[in-house]
Amino acid sequence: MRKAFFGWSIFILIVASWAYNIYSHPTSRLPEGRFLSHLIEVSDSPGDSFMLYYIANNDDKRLPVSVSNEGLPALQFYPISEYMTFRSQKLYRLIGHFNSGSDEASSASAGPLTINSVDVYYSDGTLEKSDIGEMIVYREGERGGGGSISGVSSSSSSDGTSTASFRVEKAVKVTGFSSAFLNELGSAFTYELYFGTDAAVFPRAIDAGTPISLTAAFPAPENSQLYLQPVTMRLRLEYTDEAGIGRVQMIPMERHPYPTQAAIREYVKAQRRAAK
Amino acid sequence: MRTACSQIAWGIGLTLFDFRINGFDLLPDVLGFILILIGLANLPDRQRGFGIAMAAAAVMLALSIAELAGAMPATVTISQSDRSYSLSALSAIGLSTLCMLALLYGLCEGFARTAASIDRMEAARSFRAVWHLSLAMSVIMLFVLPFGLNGIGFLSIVTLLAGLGQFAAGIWLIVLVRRFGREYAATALRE
Repeated sequence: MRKAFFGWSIFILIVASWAYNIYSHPTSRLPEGRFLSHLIEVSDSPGDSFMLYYIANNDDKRLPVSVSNEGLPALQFYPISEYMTFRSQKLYRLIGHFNSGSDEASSASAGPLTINSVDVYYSDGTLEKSDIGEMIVYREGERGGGGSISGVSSSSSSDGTSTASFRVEKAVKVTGFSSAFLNELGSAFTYELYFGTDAAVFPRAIDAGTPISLTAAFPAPENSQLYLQPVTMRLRLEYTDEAGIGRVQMIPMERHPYPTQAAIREYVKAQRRAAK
Repeated sequence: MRTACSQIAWGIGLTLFDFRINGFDLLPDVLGFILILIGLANLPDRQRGFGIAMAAAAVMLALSIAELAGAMPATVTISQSDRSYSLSALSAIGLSTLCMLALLYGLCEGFARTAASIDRMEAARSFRAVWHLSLAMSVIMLFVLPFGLNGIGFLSIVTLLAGLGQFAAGIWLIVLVRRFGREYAATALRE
């Protein structure tokens, strides 16, 4: 009698374990692989690059093979590579870069180009327009190279803080500091900009030899969805040189996603709710 | 009896050990199950347990052939706790564990009864002890296995320990079967 009770208890435990796990298994799966929602600013000058992140279930066979955008023929991507692995999902990334073959004559006169989706050719042979968030491409002509400010150094630390320092080669008048995403990011992006030892104010005349330093961070809480939002910024320090020509010094600033398993679980839940 | 026990012991050994070179199994389970079936067919003593073992070995032989032919999901090793495994892979391990459990039950029960019939009570107790160890390890394995669907932290260590327990039970059974074959032959000679 005791043996039978013991045997049935074990049997019920095993069946319950399989039933529970098979029932809860679909809730840990993404409805379909997709690109994260990015905020990207980039210039189309040769060599400038950015990253696209793609998330899919571990056993998904359908992955992006190539990515393109018809408005940007010089934009090319390296093959997809695994970035992070989680219990049920994998995060991949593709590095996008601009080749020197861009049509500079037409792009120089054009304004920034905003892109929300790219053409993606998947490994199952399908071609699809996929949302990537918001990507702003500044044309080569806007960059204003050969200016009076030159970069000295830049670094980023493990706590997410990035620093960049510049040197004013010839006297300039700094007129503004901007990014397309400053308002959108709000308190999720903080920065301190100094001209010499003084906090930045605009407009401001700066003498040759004055250092410019920028310290920036993306303080997003771990459980926030912003934590899963890759950001590539090209902060624009606008100035006029001694000849009165308006120029822009671009300062790259990036946040790469390092999500925890808990953040991925929340993301999957949100995607499943949205799919319903 | 001695030859039959030797065949069964070799068969269990072949199914226990996997020596792979470039993915090719030098000791395929198929050979092991064929040897077990031949050994069981050659046993002079017909016990109900041996019938169960034969049925289980036949099913496992069919599954091994299907795996070799690529008709079954390839065997996966649960080595990472922080990832999930597919239902088909886990079901294949679960099915194989169940069949192996039936095989070990049949062998242990059959040999225990045969041992008891020739008054080898200590051997009978040893066969039952092997069965109890195999049962405990398989129950643990079958309970934790489905957690692999959702990736649970303790999975790899528990399956590793349960797997080691099953392996130890297999080695113990090989030793017991070979020893019992010799004892049975000696008893038959005396009689």
